[in-house]
Amino acid sequence: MTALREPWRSLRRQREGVALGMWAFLGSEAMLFSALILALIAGRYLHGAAFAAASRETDIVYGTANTAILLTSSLTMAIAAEAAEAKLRRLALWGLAATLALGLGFLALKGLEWAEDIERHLWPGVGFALEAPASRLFFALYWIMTALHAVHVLAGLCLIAVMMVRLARRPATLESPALEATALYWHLVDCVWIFLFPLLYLGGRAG
Amino acid sequence: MSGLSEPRTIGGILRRMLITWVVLLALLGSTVVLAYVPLQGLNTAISIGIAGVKTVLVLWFFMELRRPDPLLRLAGAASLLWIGFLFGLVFFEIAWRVN
Repeated sequence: MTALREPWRSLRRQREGVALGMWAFLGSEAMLFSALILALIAGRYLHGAAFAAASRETDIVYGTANTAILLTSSLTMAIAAEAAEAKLRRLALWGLAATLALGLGFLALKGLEWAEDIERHLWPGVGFALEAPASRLFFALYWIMTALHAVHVLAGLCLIAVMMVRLARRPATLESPALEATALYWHLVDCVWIFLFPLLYLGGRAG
Repeated sequence: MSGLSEPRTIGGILRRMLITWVVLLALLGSTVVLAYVPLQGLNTAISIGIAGVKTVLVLWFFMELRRPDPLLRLAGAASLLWIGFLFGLVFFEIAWRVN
């Protein structure tokens, strides 16, 4: 049983089709997050002081640790994809497992951070901790963007788990473009966080 | 798929990927340190610039955009173009807004 699927006549064409489709999808995802990132940049431009003060309330330790975790997970995912291409099944499985563990670690840390945020009344509802009205805007964006990103991480983890099971059962999965597509998706999730980190966590630290 | 020499051994794969990863972590460290240094309002621009460099590294080395595949580069460039329109129009509106 090969990795070739209908309606493709060759694995090479199938791979090209999947890659193009995946990049088009990643483009739409990038546009979705770009709109939110742009709202954050515009907010910072229009309400500089309030956004800087609000940004200082985020936990830079959690933010930095999670950035390092996601960057490392991109490394292990890239190793897995490269190993699959080189037909190194064990290394590919190891890379996927490490990515899965790091992704779960990211979500666990994010959960702890959210719990602390709620404890410190940083949810922009009744009893919100900060006074400046625009700081509510910052934290509304903070919750929307981190939650939307976490949903993407979760979706990526599900894909990785599926790929691991398939790879463990059928060595032909090494040739499947689905593994490469999963890797591309995971890297996009990392790229989004690379921009969320400075915009949400680093603002107002120097002042 | 390309004329690039792909590392086929475990050592070859790990070596190239680990170098990119070390650079990414170094950039992360520098962006955190620079966030605490007063740079006369340039902190945000610098941190976003470093994020841009990190993204290019991930795109180029981890997402294999360095492969000379015109179709993929076209798809990537089209997305960037539309994101450029989005940013350009919003910045234009803010810059010319009359209070």
